[in-house]
Formats: sequence, structure tokens, C-alpha cells
Amino acid sequence: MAAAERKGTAQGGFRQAQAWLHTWCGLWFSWLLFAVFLTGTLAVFDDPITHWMTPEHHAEEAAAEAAAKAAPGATRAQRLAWGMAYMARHHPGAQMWELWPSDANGGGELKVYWFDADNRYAEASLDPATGRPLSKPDGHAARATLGGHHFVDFHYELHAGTIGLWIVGIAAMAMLVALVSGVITHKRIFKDFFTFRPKKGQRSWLDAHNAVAVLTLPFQFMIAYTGIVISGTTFMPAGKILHFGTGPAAQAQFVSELGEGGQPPRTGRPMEVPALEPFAARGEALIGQAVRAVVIDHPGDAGARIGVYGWNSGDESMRRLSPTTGMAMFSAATGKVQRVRLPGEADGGAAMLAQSAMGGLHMVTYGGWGMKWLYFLCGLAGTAMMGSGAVLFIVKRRHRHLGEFGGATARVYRLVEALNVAAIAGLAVACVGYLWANRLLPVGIEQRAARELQVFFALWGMALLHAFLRQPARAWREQLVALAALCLLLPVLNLLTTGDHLPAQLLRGDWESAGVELGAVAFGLAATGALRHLQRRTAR
Amino acid sequence: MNLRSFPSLAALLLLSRVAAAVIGGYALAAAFAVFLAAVLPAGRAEAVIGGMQLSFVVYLAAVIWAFSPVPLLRAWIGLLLPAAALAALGWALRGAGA
Repeated sequence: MAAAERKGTAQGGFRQAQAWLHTWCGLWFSWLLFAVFLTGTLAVFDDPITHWMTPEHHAEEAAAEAAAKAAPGATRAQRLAWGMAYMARHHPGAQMWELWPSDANGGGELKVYWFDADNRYAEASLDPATGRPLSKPDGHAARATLGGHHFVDFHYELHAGTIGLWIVGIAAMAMLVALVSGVITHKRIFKDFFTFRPKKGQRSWLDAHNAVAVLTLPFQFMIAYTGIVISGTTFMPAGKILHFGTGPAAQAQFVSELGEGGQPPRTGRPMEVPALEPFAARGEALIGQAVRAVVIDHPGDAGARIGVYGWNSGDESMRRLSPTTGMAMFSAATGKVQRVRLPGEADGGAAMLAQSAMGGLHMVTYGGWGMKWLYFLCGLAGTAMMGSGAVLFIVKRRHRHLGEFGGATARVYRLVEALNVAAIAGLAVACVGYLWANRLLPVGIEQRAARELQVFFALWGMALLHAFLRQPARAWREQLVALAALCLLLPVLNLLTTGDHLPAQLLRGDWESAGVELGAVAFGLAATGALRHLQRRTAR
Repeated sequence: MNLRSFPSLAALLLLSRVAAAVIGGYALAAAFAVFLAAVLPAGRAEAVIGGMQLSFVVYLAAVIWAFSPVPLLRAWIGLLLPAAALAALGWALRGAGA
């Protein structure tokens, strides 16, 4: 056991130990974190991506908007009465009625929600002008898709439920460790921040890795930490177990103590649900927000409770970190106010408010489009930090074998090279391939949304296989060519399949569609730039 | 870290240190969460959330500390002993908070 072998543990210096921690913790989690960061960055714009992926809805949206302007529908009192009548007739046994009478301006749709016999959240739309139930839109007319939500779901649970959530949570914790150990390792953090030595191979990769990481360090800390804390009681249930124990009953008790004081008790005495408009009007005055939803717990019982929830409107909610809306709770029998929560306040004390604000910080519910773009750019910087770190690891070792794994070292390096290609270029190909699948899969096929997802995973799997079969430099080139082509040709694909194109999108002011296509073109140009860099290197 | 002689004593010691950081660090963080859940002056569900939020900072610090120049045995003891103490205190004081 040579002295050099003890480096990184007790016998080496602190900085050496941290450098070891940074290298290995960073490397083994960099591929997964790259995927989490790229999809999480795209998830900032999940709504525009969904919009682009549901072209059949564009006309519907425009028509609904025009219809709302032409005929604003009935008053809120009338809408609430229709919603209540519908629920009383069709779902009298439901434990909870949730009525969404209108948008913040009193127009728009009228919707009702409840939990069905299987305890699933169900919904129905009523005609805002007549109160009659609207039939579901024909499923075959529009393409079924997860849309941009695919990126949201993948980035925090990999489409694998609780197991995926744990995997991403562990990776996020590893990222925090890599960030701190990276800062400790980094001797001249501010001097190096102003240093970039291009075209110097390993040095340039190190400079790039340092620059993107240091420039956006507070963001990277914030996004990883808030991401963990959002699902924190899953990862760290010890305190919950101390007070509440384990099992579904304990969980229910915990949630009810956290939330709105739990369900009110049933009295067993029947009582008709009173007219809702007076409650809506009082609630509106109490919270200072237009009514979004009226929720009745235990309708038909004398213990019924009526909750009035507000709409977060643009300007006012943009300045608040906590995205909670206002809420006022009444006893249905006496009309007494039970609880009032003002917009931006949490249901509990400081910890719950912090929890809510951290959720808002992570999901960028504040600040509007400018803030979303800032998150997008910082997210890309984080993605670049993961990617450049993984590449730096292997560039450092291409010319100088460090023999960390004895006889297996060459095989491990080969594995790292292949995983780099598949995790970076391959994942990007899978992401844009998902958008291609959206346009190329027939609109009417069964399980369409799942098929789009299968294309995403199949492309990623093929990229991994390809990365193992080809030499690294060639695998990089071929996957980058595929990426550039798929990105640059996305607007062409859209033109051929739907007839829509950038000039038309810009003319009608459809910035969401135009943004997706311009974004794809920007990614395509970046891939082209990476290709030219590769060619110069091989030419030299 | 050079593992030329893998699996060697050096590799096993390193593995033990990684385990101390990952498992010992988690134990300390969980015990810290239990302790705060018991003593934070708030409703018990609220205290659970507060303890959970701060526990990840403790976990992070514990992992970094485990990879500082402390002898391996001291790293294990330094994580597990306070963990046991905090957990026992939290258990004894549960119900005393709020």
C-alpha cells in the first residue's frame, strides 16, 4: 500500500480527500444528473412544449377564446347552482364536490370534480351558458400525448414512481456533495472564474467546467436542495415516524395535521347544501382574490364545510415566492368563518411557509417569463457542468492512464467513454426524437401517449448500444450528426405533417410554438458547433 | 485513489469510509430530524417538516466531514455516537415540544 494509494482518505490532506470525493461522486452520478438537468431544464417550458405537441387544440383554444368573448355565459351564482345541481343528480354519494365556476374574470369554463367510487379524481365540464353537461371531445380528433409533462415527470421520478423518485433524490444529494467538495477542491475560485484558455484540450474543459459551475453556483445549490426538500418527507421520514408511526393511517393523520385541519366530522344528520353564491362572495372579500373553486366536504350532511379558493392572478402572484392561493373555510350549517388563509400564506407556521416557498423557487411559479428564461439558462449551465465534468474525467486520462482499477482500468475507461456519448448526445437525441414521434405516430392509434414515451426510451437505448459498438470519437460524431439533423429539421417535419411553419406562427403571435421550433434550431446549431470542434481536433 | 491492488486493505478501508459517509451520515441526519421533530416549538406536524428540511444540510456536512483527514474509526464514532444521542433525546422528549 503505497503512500499515493492512501491519498483521498485520512492520510492525505483535506483538499486531496475532497478532490477524490468530487471526482468519483461526480463521475458516477454525472450521467443521471445530466439527464435530470436537461429534462428539468426543458420542463421549465412544459406548457409551450405541450402546446406544440397538441396542434389539434390550437383551433379549439382560439374558438373557446372567441366564444368566451362573444358570449360570457351565465353569472357565477347561476354557474354554481348548475354545478351543484349536476353533482346532486349524478354523484350524490361523493364525499367531496369541487366546483370551478369560472376564470378570474367571471368567464371561461364551468367544471366540476369529485372522487369516484374507486377514489379516483373525476371531472365533468358543463356548458357555461346552459349548465348542460358537455360531451367529451372526440378522442380521435386530437393526438393523445404526455406533452411537456414527460420532461417534468422524467426529471424527478424517471417515469418509475417512488423508485425513480428515490434514485433522483440520491443523485441530487450526490450533486450537493459534489458541489461542496468541488468548491473546496477549487483553490483559486475567483481568479479561475475569469480564466478561459480555449483550444487547450484538458485545460479548456476544466476552465469550461469551472466557469459554468461557479457562475451559476447559487442556482445549482438552490435547485438541488429545494428539489430534495419538496419530496423530503419521503426521503427522511424519521421525524414523521416518531410522532405518527408508519402505515396509511399515520400518513393520513400527518397530512391532515399539516393541511387544513383534516376533514370535519360527519354528524349523520342530513342537511341540504345551502346556496353557494353567498359563501363565494364572502370568501372573495375575505381573501381579496377572484373565486377559482368552491369545495364542499360531506355534502348533504349537517357537518358539511364549504371552502372558497382564489385565483392567483399574474402580476400579484409574480412577486410572491410561495404559490399558495387564498382560501376561506365556512361551516355550511352556521355560515361561520372557520379559517382564512391569505394568498401567499402557508397553512401552518414558518416551516410550512418555507416548504411552500421552496416549492415555488424550484418550480419557478414566480417572476413570469423573464424568470423562466433565467432558470432555463441556469439549467443549461448545470447541464453543461455535468457534461463537461464527465468529459473532463476521460480527457484527463486519455493520454495518462491513472490505473485506478488495476487490470480492469482500460475496460472501465471504455465504459465511461460510451456512457458519456449515450448520456449526453444520446439523451439529447431521445428528447428531440420524442418530438418527432409526436408528429410521426398516427393520431388515432391505441396507447398513443405511451408509444411516444417508448420512442424516447428506445432511442436512448439504441444510442447506448451504438456508443458501445463504435469507437468513441466516431460515436460522438454520428450521434451529434443525428442530433443536429433532428433538431434543425424539426420545423420542416412540422410543416410536412401539420402545414404549420415559423412565419405563420410568428404572424399569428403563437410564441409558444415558435419558441419550441426556434429552441430546437438553437440546439441543432449547438450540436453543429460541437461537430466542428470534433473535426478540428481530429484534423490536428 | 489508486486501487491497483484491489481488493486490498486500502480498498476495504475506503469502502468503509464511503459507508460511514453514506450510512453514518444518513443516521445522523435522521436522528437530527427526530430531535428537531421533538423539540421545535411548533405543532408536531410542523416540527416534523422543519426537522426534515434541515436534516439534509446535516447529511451534507456529515459526508464532507467523513472525507476530511479524520481516522476511519473516529469518523464512524463521530457520526454514530451523536446520532444515537440525538435519537434517544428526541425519543425521550417527544410530546414535550409544542
